[in-house]
Amino acid sequence: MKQKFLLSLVWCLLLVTTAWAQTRTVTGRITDADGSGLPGVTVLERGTTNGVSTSADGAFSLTVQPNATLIVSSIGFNTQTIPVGEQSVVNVRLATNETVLNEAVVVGYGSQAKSEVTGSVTQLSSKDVENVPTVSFEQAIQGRTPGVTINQGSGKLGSGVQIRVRGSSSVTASNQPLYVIDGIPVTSQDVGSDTEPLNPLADLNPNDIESITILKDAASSAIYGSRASNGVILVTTKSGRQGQTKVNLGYYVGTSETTRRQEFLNAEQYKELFTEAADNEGYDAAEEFEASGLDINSDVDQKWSDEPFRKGKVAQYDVNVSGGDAKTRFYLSTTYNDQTGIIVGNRYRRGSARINLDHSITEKLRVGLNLSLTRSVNDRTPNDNAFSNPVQLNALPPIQPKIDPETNELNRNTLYYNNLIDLARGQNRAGTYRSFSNFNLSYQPIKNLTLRTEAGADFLNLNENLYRAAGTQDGGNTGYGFSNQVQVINYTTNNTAVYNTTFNEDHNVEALLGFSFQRSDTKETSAEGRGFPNPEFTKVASAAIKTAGSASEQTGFSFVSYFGRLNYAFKGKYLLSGSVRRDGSSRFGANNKYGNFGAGSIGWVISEEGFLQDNSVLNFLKLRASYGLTGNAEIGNFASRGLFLAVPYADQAGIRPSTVVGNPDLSWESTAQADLGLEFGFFDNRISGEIDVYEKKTTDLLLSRPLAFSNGYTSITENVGSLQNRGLEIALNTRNFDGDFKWSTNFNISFNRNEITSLAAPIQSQYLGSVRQGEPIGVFYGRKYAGVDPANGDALYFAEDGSTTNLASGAFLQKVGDPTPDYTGGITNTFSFKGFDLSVLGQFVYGNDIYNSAGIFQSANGDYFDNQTIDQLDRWQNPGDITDVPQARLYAGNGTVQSSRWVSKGSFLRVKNLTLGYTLPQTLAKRGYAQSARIYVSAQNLATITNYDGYDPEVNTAAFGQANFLIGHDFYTPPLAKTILVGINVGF
Amino acid sequence: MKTIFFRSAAITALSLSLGLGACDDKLDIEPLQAIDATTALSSEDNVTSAVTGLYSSIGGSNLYGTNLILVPELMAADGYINFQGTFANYRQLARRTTNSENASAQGIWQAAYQTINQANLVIDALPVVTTAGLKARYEGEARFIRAAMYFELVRLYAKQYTPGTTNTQLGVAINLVPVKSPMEASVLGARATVEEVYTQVITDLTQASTLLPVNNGSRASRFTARALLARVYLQQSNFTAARTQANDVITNSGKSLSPTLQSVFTGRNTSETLLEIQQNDQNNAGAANTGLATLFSSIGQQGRGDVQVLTAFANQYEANDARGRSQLIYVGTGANSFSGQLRSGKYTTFGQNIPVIRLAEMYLIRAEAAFRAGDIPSALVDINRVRTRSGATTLTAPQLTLATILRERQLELAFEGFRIHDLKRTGTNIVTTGTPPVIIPITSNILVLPIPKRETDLNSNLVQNPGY
Repeated sequence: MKQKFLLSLVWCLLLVTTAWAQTRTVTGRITDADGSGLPGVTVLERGTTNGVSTSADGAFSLTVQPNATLIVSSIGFNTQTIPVGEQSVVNVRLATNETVLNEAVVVGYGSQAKSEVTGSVTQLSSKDVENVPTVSFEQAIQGRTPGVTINQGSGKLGSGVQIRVRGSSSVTASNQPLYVIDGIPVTSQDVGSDTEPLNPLADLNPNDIESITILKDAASSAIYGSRASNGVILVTTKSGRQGQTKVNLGYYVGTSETTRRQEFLNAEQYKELFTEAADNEGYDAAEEFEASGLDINSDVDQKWSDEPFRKGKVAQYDVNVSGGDAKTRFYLSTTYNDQTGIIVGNRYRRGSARINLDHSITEKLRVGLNLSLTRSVNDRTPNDNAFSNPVQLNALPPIQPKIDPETNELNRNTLYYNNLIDLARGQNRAGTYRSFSNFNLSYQPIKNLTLRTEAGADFLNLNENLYRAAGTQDGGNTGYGFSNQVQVINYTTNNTAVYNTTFNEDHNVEALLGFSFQRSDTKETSAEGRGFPNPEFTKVASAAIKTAGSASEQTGFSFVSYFGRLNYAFKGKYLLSGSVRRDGSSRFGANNKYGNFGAGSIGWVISEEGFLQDNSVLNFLKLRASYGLTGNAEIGNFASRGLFLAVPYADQAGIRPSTVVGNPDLSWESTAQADLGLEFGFFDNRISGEIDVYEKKTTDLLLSRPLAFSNGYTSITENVGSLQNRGLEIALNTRNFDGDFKWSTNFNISFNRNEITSLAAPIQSQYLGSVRQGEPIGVFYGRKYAGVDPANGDALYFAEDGSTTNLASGAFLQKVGDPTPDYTGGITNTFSFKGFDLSVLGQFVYGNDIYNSAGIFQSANGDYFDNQTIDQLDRWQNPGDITDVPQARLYAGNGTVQSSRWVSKGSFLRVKNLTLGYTLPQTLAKRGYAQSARIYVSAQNLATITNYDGYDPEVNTAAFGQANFLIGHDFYTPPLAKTILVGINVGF
Repeated sequence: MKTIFFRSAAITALSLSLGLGACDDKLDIEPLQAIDATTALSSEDNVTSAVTGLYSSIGGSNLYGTNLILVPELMAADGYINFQGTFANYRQLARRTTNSENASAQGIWQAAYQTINQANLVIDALPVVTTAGLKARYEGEARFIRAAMYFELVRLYAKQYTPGTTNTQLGVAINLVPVKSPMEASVLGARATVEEVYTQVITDLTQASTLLPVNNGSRASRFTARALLARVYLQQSNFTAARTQANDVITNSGKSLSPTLQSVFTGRNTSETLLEIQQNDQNNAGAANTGLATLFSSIGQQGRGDVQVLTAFANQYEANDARGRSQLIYVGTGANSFSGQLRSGKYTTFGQNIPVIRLAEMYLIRAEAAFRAGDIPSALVDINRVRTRSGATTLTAPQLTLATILRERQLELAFEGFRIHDLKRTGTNIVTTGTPPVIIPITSNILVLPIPKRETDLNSNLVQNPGY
């Protein structure tokens, strides 16, 4: 089988050498309006990936097909498209343009001038992600991405980040976009063993990123077929450019703090509240305190809520060298990043190295290799829902000391586990080795035709080690150890042929045909043991008993895909594009092995029309529309199969059918998306922007239908439900001042409305999150809290007829909130004057609700001895008291069932990033033998404005599993970090 | 130029179509921690594993691992045991507040039917078993287990079988077809009558008792099938048939009473047992929320101490009766150990085997059947054989009444899942311990488990039991 496949690959390669044709070398110099050479300008042959960067003096040399067209682009300048014709020297003068309208953008299997793109695409550049003190690049682009919401969920370093491109389009399958790094789809979903996800994208060094392109609508993403419904994020890493070798050194160092803290009772308040709670129930307070191991006469006042947190540190060392000549270009980098988290015990370190190499063997034949290696070590913070989660220390009574005065060690006699002991006597570490690689060969056999073949691999090795010595909670009397090795090898080959031609001067056609194959294999081996001789022994080998967590497993999937795309432009103003993809996957049911996807789009560059061509106000106007069909194949590897599983019977092993009956018809989820977009530029692009409206209708949602047990099965998974997302995205860029003093503003805002349109049966989590027809995914559904009865202090709930009841069982279950924001967005103001630059990024989220699912413990008017939030002091005390906090009643469950009592508004506005930099004048820099030098101070999450009274409004606990509908729940979830750093970059 | 282009385009097309052919099989990735159901039972070895899987299933916590033993005891807890735990499903059963969403009622139903389907799949796959002895043995084991499941279901989810009537009261749905496809799994079956279910049980057991070998290791043998048949006939009050089967087992199985009752539970596969669920420290019915030792025991850090043995019941044992003394009844030392509450010593370690059928029961069945047939001497011998093993005084003929025989069953088989079934077949009402005592008629609706609400919601052909 393998041979047959290899054979076909060889065919593709042979093909590469079948024909030769004439090419020509074009040289030239790119200058700015004043005629001085522009270094680093991209000169690209249209429709290909053949391109170079200009050298320090603006010169370039590029081998192209006859009649090729060059796209000359550089950030900050208008892109120019120049037909080469019979010229061999092409000199270009670029006009300044600080908007991004005419950048070349990366698209699936190629690149395109932004002005000719007919899909909805957001592209970010390296400067958005460089030197931001976050672990992974997605955290750095928050607030900069219209149509894409990014939620970090918690302040734990290296943990999974939730990204939604134009809303959630699945109930049970993944909602995360497809990530493609340098053309290769990578492992982007958690592979670890904990309920809470790690983020495999943290292994990509953000400083190596050249650009991030988010494909949002069907026109841009359908080329990725069955994996495009959640959007596609294309990451391109930096490459070397022809010219003088550049050496860059970077360093930053800083400190971090929690963004926000929650207030809890002090000892005096605690004693007062719980004495009252006991009295109200007729208990003797002192006795009840004692029964729970508390001393009512204790003079301790321990601020436990401060214990989970500390001052963190960040530091990064970064070196990169890039350059090259006409034949060979290179980019080398190495970075070491060290972040000590704000949560005790949490630390993340990453060392990475990369080499991106590109060589022209002949004028027609190019070869390239991108290779990176990353090592990361993450000292993890446990699951939010574990007693070992440091944030749960806030539940400990302030009258119990942290240090036991008798032993002078950490107090073991606390109400709940004093998990600081875990940090002293254990380890919870996840380490990865990661390599992204891509080997490619491109060849131009004849004029206008480029054949490219690439093979890439994403190798991920995750290594989790958990050790809890004897004397810790998990360690029990003898100690507990767990070790888990996960290896994910993901390899892909893409083979494409691109034909690009212009005929009769006005007609430009680009045709792409391709074949792709991807295979991913995951192997996991774990060992678990109990019974360690003493705490010096930390590996499972030393454990007396190897327990049931010991296992080895393997799983995998494959995709075989054929795709094509045709772009047609008439006079650069009428644009037409169509793409198709046929995907086969091992994941799809036997009766549905292959699916067809595709999209069509049109564009009209109105400003190219005669009547607008020389308009002094409006300089650019484009209208575009697209419609297409994509899929979501993240349905699990064997969901369609009926399976027999191994089951143990004492020391024998048997088999039995799974409780889910196989469904050979099972397939991907389908999304049909229509998009209408308008791009504009006024006053020489002083004001420019983009507006998109879209509608995404997803059908064939994968849902589980319960089956009658009496036939031997529990459920069947079927493609039955449907949902839709509708939305509006606006991006507006202005250059307010454009002289010596420059001030520009980038603003974006996105509205998305999600609605479940058809569902087999409502899905309700154990908390408030649920899925219901006619409501957005994750809608909060449960009892509606009606406050406190002023007469007697009883908690009240709304009954079905709208009256109130003090019986939780009489409460009517209803919609009590919505975790999905009405709108999200960001605003960036950038100022520069002389060598100074200042940028301020504000991020906002409005209209969402948060459910604090820990409220039943921590804000429960003294129901049990957990320390209470400060607002519980407002409890009802006397008849006539008007308050929202019921009478304190020990053990009585007065208002302590899950309800809207702990639902609050989650809107916030955050100063996400503020950076002030100073670039030394070149004369000064050169005195220190440097070409350039910049020093800066930067603050991340500097200020947060919100009415949320928990820790941080950007919260999404992963403690209860990663169900798509459990969003906006808080559960002892640590807040994000506020980081302030100083840094320096020196170029030689 | 153009021809070159077309030539290379043709080759591209060719290579793409080659890729198509070559890549189809790249999509065949097989799961490695599971096997595809369509081929799972295609060889003799696989069927062998599936038979082991049947035993694994009946040992699960919803079946003999916990619920089929505990639930019949809790349903008649009065004056006997007390459920102290927090699990609402068990509390409801013990307090007779069970509703149709009770987790135990749903769990037993689901697990029993899942096991029945496994048995049906094994029977369906028998043609691939070519070794003659194995084929008969596997069929016998599958039929035995299927019969055991239907017997448990009809006893728990339907009104008691009444001898001499047509027993047209609703039993449970009978499904003998192996369910493999979504279509088959969506069939909405209706409840058969109690008579029909018993007929099916007896048919399977009768066939199993000829198919199964005389000796089958720790698994069901010919005599295990006959022992269960004796139990089934007893439940029908068909004493003659019950006596015949019990007698056959006692005489021919080669089994003998263990020296002590304690050793039947602490040892493994002793000479006394006809069927034991095999467990070990790693694979058992549970050590945290499920499992008999979890719920019954209270020993240091082990066990939840959820099932308390009431002193009134413990006092029914004579002073020298080992069955009423430590270790078979002991004072808890772990959870709920304040005030010296008593626990059953039959379930003390997570990994112990669980006896399901043992020879003492056969003696008790034979004694009861003999007594009812007027054969007092035979009954006396059998009763005393069971009593003397545990050091209780021997009874004399004048002392022997039906009541003493039934009480002996209670003393010997306590906590082993017999109580509600014995009360039902003997028509003995439950009397609560409160003042004044309340009489709960044994024919009460609440003493029959509800058909799970989930099930009646999905299948309109399933009629709910009265009272739910």
